[in-house]
Amino acid sequence: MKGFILLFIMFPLLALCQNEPARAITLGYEQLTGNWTEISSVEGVIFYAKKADCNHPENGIFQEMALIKVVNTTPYNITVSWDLLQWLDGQLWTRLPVRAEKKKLIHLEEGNSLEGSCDQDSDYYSSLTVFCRFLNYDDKPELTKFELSNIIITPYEK
Amino acid sequence: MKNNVLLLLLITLLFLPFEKVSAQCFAEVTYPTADTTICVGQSVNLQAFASCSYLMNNNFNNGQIGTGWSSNANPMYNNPCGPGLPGSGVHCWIGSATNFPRELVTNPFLLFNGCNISWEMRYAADENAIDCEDPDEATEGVHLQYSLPPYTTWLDINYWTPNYSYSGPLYVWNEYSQAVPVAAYGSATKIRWYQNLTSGFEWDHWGVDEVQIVCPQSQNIFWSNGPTNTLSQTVTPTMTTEYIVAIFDSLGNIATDTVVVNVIPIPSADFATESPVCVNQPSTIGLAGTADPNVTYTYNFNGGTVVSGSGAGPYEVSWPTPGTYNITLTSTQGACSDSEVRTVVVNSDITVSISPSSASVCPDSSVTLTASGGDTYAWAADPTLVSDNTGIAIATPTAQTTYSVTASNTMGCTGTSTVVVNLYPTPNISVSPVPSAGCIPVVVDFNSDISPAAISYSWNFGDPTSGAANLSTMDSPIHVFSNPGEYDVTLAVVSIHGCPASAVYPSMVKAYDVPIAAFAADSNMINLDNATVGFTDMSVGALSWFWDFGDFGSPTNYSFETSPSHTYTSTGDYIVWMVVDNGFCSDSAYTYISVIQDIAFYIPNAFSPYNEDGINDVFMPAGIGAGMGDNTYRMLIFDRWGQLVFESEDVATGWDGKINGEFANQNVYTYFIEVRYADNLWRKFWGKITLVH
Repeated sequence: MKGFILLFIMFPLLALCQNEPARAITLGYEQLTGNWTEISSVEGVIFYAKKADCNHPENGIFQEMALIKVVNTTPYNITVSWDLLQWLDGQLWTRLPVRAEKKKLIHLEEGNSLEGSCDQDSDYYSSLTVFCRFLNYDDKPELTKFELSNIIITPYEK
Repeated sequence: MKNNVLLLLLITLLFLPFEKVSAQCFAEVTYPTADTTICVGQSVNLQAFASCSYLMNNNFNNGQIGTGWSSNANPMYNNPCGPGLPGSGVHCWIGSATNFPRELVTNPFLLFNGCNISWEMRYAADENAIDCEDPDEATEGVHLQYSLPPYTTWLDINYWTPNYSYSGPLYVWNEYSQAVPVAAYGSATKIRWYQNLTSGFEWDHWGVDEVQIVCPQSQNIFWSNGPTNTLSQTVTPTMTTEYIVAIFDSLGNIATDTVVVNVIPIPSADFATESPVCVNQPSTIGLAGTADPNVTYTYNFNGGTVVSGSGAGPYEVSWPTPGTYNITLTSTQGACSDSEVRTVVVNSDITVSISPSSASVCPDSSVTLTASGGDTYAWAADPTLVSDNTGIAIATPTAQTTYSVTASNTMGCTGTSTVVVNLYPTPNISVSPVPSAGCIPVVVDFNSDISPAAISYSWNFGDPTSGAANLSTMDSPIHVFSNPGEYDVTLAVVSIHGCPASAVYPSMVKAYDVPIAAFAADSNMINLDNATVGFTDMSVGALSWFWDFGDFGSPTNYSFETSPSHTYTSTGDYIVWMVVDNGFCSDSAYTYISVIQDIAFYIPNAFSPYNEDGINDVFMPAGIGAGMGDNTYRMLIFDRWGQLVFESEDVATGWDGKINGEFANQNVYTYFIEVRYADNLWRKFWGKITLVH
């Protein structure tokens, strides 16, 4: 019964999501700063991004990464999915059609947020981080821009 | 001296627990790759890779990660994404066994200036659904890194960024080489190939091959059995031997590797055969010694038929045809085998000959049969054969007979031969005397019929009184039996086959005596007036008589009386035949009987026709019993010049002395008169007649 009521309440949002085209967020490397910057808000889901040095000297990894934060301002528990497209040195560096490894999905409970970190072992590392460049090389491809395309927000019952 | 020192060092080191890799040195026996087993007498070429320059040298062809490093990624060694560069064999492939990070980490090495890292590498390019997913994100590539003690940090030597198109040099096998950077110089530097991130187990695979880390060094190589400074040697151990290859460098580093060559004896394939043998006669073939239960013995009898035997033998083997057969025995124990060949000579059964190869004999004759080709002989029993074991037999067949002899030689080979001895037929003699009886002299033509034909004849006519003529060698002789008697005739012949035969014909010829016919007539000329003639028998040996008086019109012309008489009724000359007979032979005699009538015939010697006085006017003969009837008289008168002046065929017509109607001159003329008398005999008269005027 509870599920039925929740579904009834969520119906308008579901209807909106179903009928509108998928959304996309594109962000150039130059737009990234060291602070969280909102880059887009979609149906109560706010996307932030910043860049950070994610060095792991114990493994010889010195790289700058774009971190993404997603905030669920809706009263629902939701899943947010998108396809990550990257451009390095001005070239699209993502195979099309987008393969599974580029399809990202996170779960957000109402009012919660998730943000990327440099911890490669974190749950959403691959979803909420975007490679920008190696800091110990200047001859390797570097991020030009990235795009979160085909963003889909789906409520779910907890 | 230097070598001695090094050898002592090696001996010392051999008893220490060294490994293949000791610090900078690496030694590995590359062939054989593991302990091996050879046979006595065989050699094995030992090959090693030993270098203190090669800190690491792994090609993964043995399906192992190799020495000098380790991996957390459970590498594969089965080329799941296709082969590597030509000749590279198996490579080390980082597949789906692990997630990330994935690494291959070396042992600590002393790295210094000149050290170099080389390897082959490629990223997967989706060749296979499993283990071959391509790295395509910028962070999914492979880092080559080093780390110095205490190994808390790693630093990149290089990094190879994947691309989203999973194409290009990274996605095919390529050779890579990196000089060890100065910062990596150290006494215990580790090197690693490191993949920091992947999209998961089943994502982002790659592989390496021919990984070498080389630092130039002076070095010495020793083998435990003596050779130095060589990486290969051929050894022929006679017993199980452990070979150790050791390498030292100038820094005192040492590495060794060991391989054991197990030596097992070659199983004996010595065997013996029984040779020579005869066709289909088994040869005993067996081991010269005792069979080893650990050895497999395999015989090749070269087409022979195994009569008996199995396994190691012994065997009884025979061959159906003559020849020289190579028999091979292969003894096998594990990897060791030996083969030996023995020869079995298979002789043909002996060829037995009988001389003569065929023979024919006459009845009751013998032929000597001589067998050859063997050493001993056995003639098949036959009542017409006398033989011993020397091969000589005397055959006296009574009919066509086949004689058989079996010969053997000292090797036991046998052979049989037969000979047919034909029996010639006895000549069949048939004699036909023609005639078989007669009166002496009996001329007999002897005709012989000999079957089969004869080539010689020997006659004996049983008539020795005939002297040499009593015998003859002609096929159809003629013999005259001159004396009365019965004669036994014997003919002996030899047929064309040389077979003799004879036949005696008793009383074949009968020769009878001949009577002598003789008689005497009372008179051989009688007068018709008293024409009875008596005949007196004077025959000898006559038993019957037959007379023919030659008087065919007479009913008494014939007579069977001994001494008959006959009366002729007309004049004439008669032949009287007398035939006498003694029952077998006859004889005859004859005589002439003339029955005459008295005859008077007068011829004047002058006449005188001219005077016509009626006396002696005509010249003509006169008489009785002559010139009676037609054609019984002819008279011719010629003048003195031979001219016919008168002719008459009538005894009553005389010459009137005229010629052409004129009286002939007085002269002497010649007359010729032919006149047939009453006895029908012609008589001739000629003379001179004088014509008188």
